Amino acid sequence: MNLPDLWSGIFWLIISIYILAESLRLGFGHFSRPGPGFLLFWSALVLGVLSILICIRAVIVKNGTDIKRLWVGIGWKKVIPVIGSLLLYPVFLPVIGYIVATFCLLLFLFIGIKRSRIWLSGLSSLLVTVLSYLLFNSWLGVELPKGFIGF
Amino acid sequence: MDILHHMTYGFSVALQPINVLFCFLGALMGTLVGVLPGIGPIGAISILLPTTFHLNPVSSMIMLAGIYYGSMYGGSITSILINIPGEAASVVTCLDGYQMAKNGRAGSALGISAFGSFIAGTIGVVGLMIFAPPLAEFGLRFGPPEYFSVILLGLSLIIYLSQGSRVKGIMMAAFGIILSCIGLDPMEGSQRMTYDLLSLWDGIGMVPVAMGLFGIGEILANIEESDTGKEIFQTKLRNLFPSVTDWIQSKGAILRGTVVGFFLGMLPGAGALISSFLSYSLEKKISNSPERFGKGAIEGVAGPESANNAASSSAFIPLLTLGIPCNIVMALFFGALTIYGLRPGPLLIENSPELFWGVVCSMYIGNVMLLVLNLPLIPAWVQILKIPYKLLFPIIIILCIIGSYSLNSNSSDILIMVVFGVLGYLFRKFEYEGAPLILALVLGNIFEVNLRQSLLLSKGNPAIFITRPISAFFVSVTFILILFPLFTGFYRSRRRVKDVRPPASNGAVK
Repeated sequence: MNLPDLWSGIFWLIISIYILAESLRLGFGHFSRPGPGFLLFWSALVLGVLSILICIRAVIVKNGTDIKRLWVGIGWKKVIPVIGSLLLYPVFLPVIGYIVATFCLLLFLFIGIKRSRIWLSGLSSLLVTVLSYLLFNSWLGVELPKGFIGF
Repeated sequence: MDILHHMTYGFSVALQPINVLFCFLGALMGTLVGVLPGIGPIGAISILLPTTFHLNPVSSMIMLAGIYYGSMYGGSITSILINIPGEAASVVTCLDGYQMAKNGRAGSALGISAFGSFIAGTIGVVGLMIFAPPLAEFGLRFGPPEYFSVILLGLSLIIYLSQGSRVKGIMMAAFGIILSCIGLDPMEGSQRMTYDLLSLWDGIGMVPVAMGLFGIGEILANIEESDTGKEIFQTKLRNLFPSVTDWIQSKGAILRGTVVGFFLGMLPGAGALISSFLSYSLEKKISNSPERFGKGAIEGVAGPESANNAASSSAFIPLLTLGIPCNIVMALFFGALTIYGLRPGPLLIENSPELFWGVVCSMYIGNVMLLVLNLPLIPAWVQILKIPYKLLFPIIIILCIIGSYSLNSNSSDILIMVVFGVLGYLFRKFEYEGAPLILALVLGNIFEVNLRQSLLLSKGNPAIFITRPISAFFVSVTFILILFPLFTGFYRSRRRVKDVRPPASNGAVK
C-alpha cells in the first residue's frame, strides 16, 4: 500500500466534494447558458474521479511506501519554525511596520535557523533590512507599511 | 522590406538609454539567478515582477526578458563547474560539461556553451521576427472555440510532458482551474468562494502563488537538508575561446540544437527543458562515437545549451501573437502584460508595436551583452557560488515578501504566498508538480470565458469545438496526446505478456 498517495488522494477527494457542492450552490446553469459554477463543477469532478483513482492505485500497489519515509531525516526543527515565523510575519507587519518586522524575522532566521553568531546575525539583519527598504521603498517607490512606530 | 522597417523602429526603441540599461540589468540579474542554484527564472521573475510596475511596460518587458534568457546562460556555469544545474534546463549540461571540467577542459566547455547560446539566441530572435507577424495575422481568425481548444492543448501538453505522474498532473491542472474561479465571475459578476473577504474579490494572484510554490517551497525543501558544502571544481580557467577543433566538433550540434529548441520552444508545455533533453538525445544518437557521451563530449554541451537558448526566444512567439503562454515563465509574462493593461494576443503587435519590436530588438542587444558578460565574469560568478546558503535564503524570503506585498499593498498576499509555499513543500513530498497548477491558474480565466462564450454561441452544442476546422485540429491533437500513452502502455503490456508466455509443447497453440 502506498500511504502517501492514499492520504493525498483522500485529501483531494474531500476538496473535490466541497467544490462540487459549492459549484451547485453557485449555479451550474445549463449547456446553452453556463452558470458561474459550470467550470467549477467539471474541474471538481475531474479532481474527484482522479483522486479516487489515486486511492485505488495506492491500495493495490504491492511494494508501497510508508508515509513515515517522507519525513525521515527531515530537519523539522528548521522547517516548522520557518513556516511559523512566515505565518506570523503578515499579522505583525501592518502593526509594527516593515523595518521592525523584517529585522525581527531576519534575526530569527539567521540565529534561530542557521545558528550564526549573534553579532553577525544582527549586522546582517540590519543591513538587509535597511538596504531592502532603501531599494524598494525609496528608489522603486514600493509603499512599505510604517506601523505605529512611524517608520 | 517590412521587416527592415520594423527592425529600424524596434532598434530605435531598444537603443534608448533607459532600455539599454534595463536590458543590461535584466541580463545581469538573469545570469546571477541562473548561476545560483535554488532560485530559477520563475522565482526571479515572480520576485522582480512587482518592482517593474513603476516602470513603463516596454522597459519592464525588456528587463524581464533579459532575466529569462540570461538565466539560460548562467545555469550552464554551475552545471559545468560544480555538477549542479543552476536551473532546470541546464540539467543535461551537467552530464558532459562537468566531465569536460574534470578533464581539464572547463574553459572550452564554458566557452562553447556561451558561444553556442549566443548563436542560438540570435537565430532564435531572427526566427521570432519572421514567424511572429504572420502567426499574429493567423491568430485574428481565432474565436472563442479556437482559444478554448488551444488552451486545452496547452494544458494537455504540459501534463503530457511533466516528469511525474500524469494523473497527478491533471489533478494539479484541475485544482489550478478551481483556484482561478475564486473571485468575481467574469461574465455575471457574482462572488465565487470569496467568503466575504475583500482581498479575494480579485481572485488569487498568480504572483504570490508562483513565489510561494517555487520560491518559499524551494527554500523549505533546501533548509531541511543539512548544510553540505558544494565542491567547486578547482581549476584554472584557461582558453575560454574554443579551439578550431572544438568548433568543428560543435558546429553541427549548435545548429541542430538551435532548430530543435526553436520549434519545441513554441509548443505549449515543451520549453527549454524538453528542448535540451531532446537535443542531447539527438546528438548522442547521430554521433559516430556515442560512447564519448557522458565522458566529456563537447557536442553534449553545445547542443543542449543552444537548444535551451533558442527555446527561450521562440517561447515568446505564441505569447505575443496568440496570447497563449507556452510555459510557466511565459505565463508570468502573460500575467505581467495584463497587469500593465495590455492584452497579449494577435492585436498586440498592431496596438503596441513599440513593445513587440522593442522587446525583440532588445533580445539581439541582450545576447551580445550576455556573451560579453559571461566570458570575462566567470571567475566572479564562481565566487558568488561560494556564498553560503544560510546567508542567501533569508534574502530570498525578504524579496518574496516584498514582491507579494507590493502587488496590492496588502499583507494577505504574503499570507497566500506562505500558504502556497507550504503547499509547494508538501507537493514535493507527495510528488505533485506545481507547473500544471500555475499554468492552469493563469489560463483558467480565459479558458472559462471562451468555453462559456462558445457554448452561448452554439446554444449549448459542444460540437462547435469540432465543426470549426482550427478548433477541430487542436482538439484532435489534444485527444491524441491523451490517448497515445494509453495505447502505448496497453501495447507494451501485451508485448510483455507475449514475451513471458512459455513456448507451447508438442506444437499445441496456446
